[in-house]
Amino acid sequence: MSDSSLDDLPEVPPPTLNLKAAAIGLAVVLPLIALLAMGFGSDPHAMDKPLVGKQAPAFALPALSDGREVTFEDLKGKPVVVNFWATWCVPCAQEHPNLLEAARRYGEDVTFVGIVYQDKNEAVEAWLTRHGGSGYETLIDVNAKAAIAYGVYGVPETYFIGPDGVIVDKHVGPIPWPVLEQQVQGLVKGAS
Amino acid sequence: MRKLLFLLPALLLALSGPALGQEDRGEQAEPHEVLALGPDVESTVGPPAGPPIDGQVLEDRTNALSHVMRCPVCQGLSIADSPSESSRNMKRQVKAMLAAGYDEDQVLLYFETAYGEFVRMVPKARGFNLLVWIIPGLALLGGVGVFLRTTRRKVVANEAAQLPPSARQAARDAGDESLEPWLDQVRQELARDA
Repeated sequence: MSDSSLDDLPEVPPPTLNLKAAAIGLAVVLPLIALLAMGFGSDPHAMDKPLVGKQAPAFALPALSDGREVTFEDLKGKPVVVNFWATWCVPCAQEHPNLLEAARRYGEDVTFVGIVYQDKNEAVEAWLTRHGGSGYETLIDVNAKAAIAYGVYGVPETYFIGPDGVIVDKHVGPIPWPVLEQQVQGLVKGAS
Repeated sequence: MRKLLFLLPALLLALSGPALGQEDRGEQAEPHEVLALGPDVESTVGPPAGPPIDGQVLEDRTNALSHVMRCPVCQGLSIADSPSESSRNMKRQVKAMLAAGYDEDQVLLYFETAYGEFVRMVPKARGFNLLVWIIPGLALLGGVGVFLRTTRRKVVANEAAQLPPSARQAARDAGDESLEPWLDQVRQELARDA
């Protein structure tokens, strides 16, 4: 084909935007992008804390030390820190010194309780001996009833409860010292 | 090779041992037949809605309800399907509540109070969750619309191709004539290449 024959041809009309197709495409794609943006904006590891701000569930559990039943009612009157843990949980060993230290410093004003989850009494006693004792009451959660009542996903989880029995906050995972101290100081301040 | 075949089941058994051991951590459990409720149940969901139940009815209702409750430590498994100790404990609690006369709504409410709506395998059809029901329906309708439209276009094109030459010419005459020089050019080049 010669160049002259090309010159004889008329101009190709410019492509036009099909507004209808574009509108339909945007109507489908934009909501999907918005949904994705919402997903990216939230932490996929964040867990629901539906009990925060509500009355802490009651429990009645045997104490590790002597088997006597300890109820949540027995602990009310002072702020309470409830720590769910287990001997087979590696992060629990990491946070244990922090809890011991917090109980030593703030034990006068705040009640600390450890609730052992899915474990054996003998294993708990041996573990505590290896890790410097508990320094506060340890309760045994038979059939995980308390863990279910508190909505525990996995150990360790720590609940901060005001003197009125209302859950102030919950920490999932091993609790670092600055976070623990800040939470406990908040409880003490709220109680005074 | 034959020795290896004999060793393989033994190896698999040895590997499964620790995994099974992790599932059963030997917690202090009540006997299975003891279905005591925690002291928080009545304060959370009130008194039981019906009379106590037992036997096969209790087993069937426990199993049915366990299939619609999510295991908190698994990936998309119900507590009925999960072998984890957490699920076993939750299932035991479901059974204890049903045995005491609590109905399905009360049991779900109890777990939802502690774990949030996450514990339901099927979220409630309200608010933002409605999108889960609406979007697939809309997508299906859109797909049917696109399918019908495409099919209709093809039918029209086939009908046009089957018209007699004179009618085809008439149809072409009614169309866009500005493309005719381009079509002529293409025809010439096809004829020359042939």
